[in-house]
Amino acid sequence: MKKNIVFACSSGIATSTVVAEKVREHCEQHGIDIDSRQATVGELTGLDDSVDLFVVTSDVGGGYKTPVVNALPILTGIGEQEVLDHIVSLLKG
Amino acid sequence: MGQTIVDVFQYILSFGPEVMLPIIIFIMAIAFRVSFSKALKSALTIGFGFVGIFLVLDLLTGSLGPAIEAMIDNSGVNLPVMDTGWPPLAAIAFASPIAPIVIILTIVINVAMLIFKWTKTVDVDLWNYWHFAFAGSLVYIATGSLIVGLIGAAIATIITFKLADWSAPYIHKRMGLPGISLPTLSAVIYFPVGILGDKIINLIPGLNKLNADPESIKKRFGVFGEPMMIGVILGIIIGIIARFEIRNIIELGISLGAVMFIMPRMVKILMEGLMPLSDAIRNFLQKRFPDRKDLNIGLDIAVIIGNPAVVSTALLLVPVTILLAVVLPGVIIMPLGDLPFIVVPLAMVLVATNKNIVRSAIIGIPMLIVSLYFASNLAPLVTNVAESIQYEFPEGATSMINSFLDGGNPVRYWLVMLAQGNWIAIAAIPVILIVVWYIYKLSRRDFDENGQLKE
Repeated sequence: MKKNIVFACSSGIATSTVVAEKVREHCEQHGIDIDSRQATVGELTGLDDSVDLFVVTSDVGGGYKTPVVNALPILTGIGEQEVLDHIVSLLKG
Repeated sequence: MGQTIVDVFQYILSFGPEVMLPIIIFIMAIAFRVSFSKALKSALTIGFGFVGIFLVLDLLTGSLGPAIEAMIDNSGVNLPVMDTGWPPLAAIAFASPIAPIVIILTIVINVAMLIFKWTKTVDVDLWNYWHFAFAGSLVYIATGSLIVGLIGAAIATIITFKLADWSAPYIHKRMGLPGISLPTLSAVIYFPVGILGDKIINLIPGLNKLNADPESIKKRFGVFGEPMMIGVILGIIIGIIARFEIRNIIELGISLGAVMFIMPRMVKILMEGLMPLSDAIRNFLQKRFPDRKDLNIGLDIAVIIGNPAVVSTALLLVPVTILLAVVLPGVIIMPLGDLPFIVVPLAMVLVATNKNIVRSAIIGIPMLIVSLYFASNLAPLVTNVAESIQYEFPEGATSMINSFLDGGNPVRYWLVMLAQGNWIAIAAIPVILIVVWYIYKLSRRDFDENGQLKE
């Protein structure tokens, strides 16, 4: 079954593109089919509870029904694998 | 034989960037051990990104150009330079013959500075190397000397790393990003400006107590946060001032809205294509310094521009910028493409003022004025650089382009003036050094004896 992910960053373009590519590749390797879109951080409130996961690159605070993963480690490369594995486990769980 | 090689070389150099750059990126990707198929795919993607950016640029110059000419003829508003926004400048910078050398040079400078402990920043953000390449290509076209161009790029790189180190502790604490620094030239050079402005405002009674609530500003000025709305509204206003008939006014609004909406998507294609090389360079840099726990990973300014305080300050300054461009004598650029990116230079000011919106907006106004003037003065040179990579303007377009933020960047402007032997630029060297040193000393008071930032 397809999983819906929203990738969000401050512009909806720059860093979320990088993160989205990495996550898509990692999910494919683990047999997870994903459907994704990119958004600005400000749009998340409107998208809450409509998808399986939010993956963000800047601090968005709490209070969302949709699980949020901060993907900054994917940009820095430090702790990248852990975050990718965490995303996969959330989607499979 | 020698002549044949020169001919072949000349022939290859005469290709447009959408052909040249994929070849260069492919070779670099292979050199950094990216797999063949991935290197090929990403190189082609970059070429497509170029095609896309220049298609949208054609739409912009083709629709806005005649309107700006009519506006000059039919009203007193004389702003003949089109603000394309930074994406075409980035494309031009990556397409300039100096860019591949600048990429390598930046890596070499970064590694050397890390070895000698002159910087703590590991700049893994290949995308933003375009800022250095753009500095280099401006100086190169201004002087005709490749070496001087590379020196210009190198100075821009070193300044950026030093400022990224300086601002890093503030970013760690105030933006909650430990282990990160932000070596984005277009933002980080305004950090000292923010620190100085903050200290000055501290001394002004009344003003030093003010702040504003980001949410209420967002509600009132939110429309300026939508690039497409900026495009549509400005298009309609320019159409009216140009005394177009109603049909053409609406068409211009739709065209400019489309430019603002589509351009970032084209940039995305370019960025996707750069990713495998960017990853390879990141791994290359990180493998070199596994034991240095004191280092910061240098990322794009984008990781902090989502902060509500940054966004709201920038929203306030969008109408201010348009007003400034219209009323200031000597400013000849019509702000458009860079309007959604006022967040970039302001982000570092917000860091310096600890997210105070009122202070940052006040500090932002002189910054914007300077940027508008420098962008006006640099427009002929930037247009020359665009033409040097074979970009041809559509028929009927006014002939000058620039972007008012990245094309008016004070550091790049200063480097160009230095390279041209401008005596004011040369005389400014000791002044700038003393002022920046003084600001640095001022900022040290923000730290306690253990080197921790006090709040």
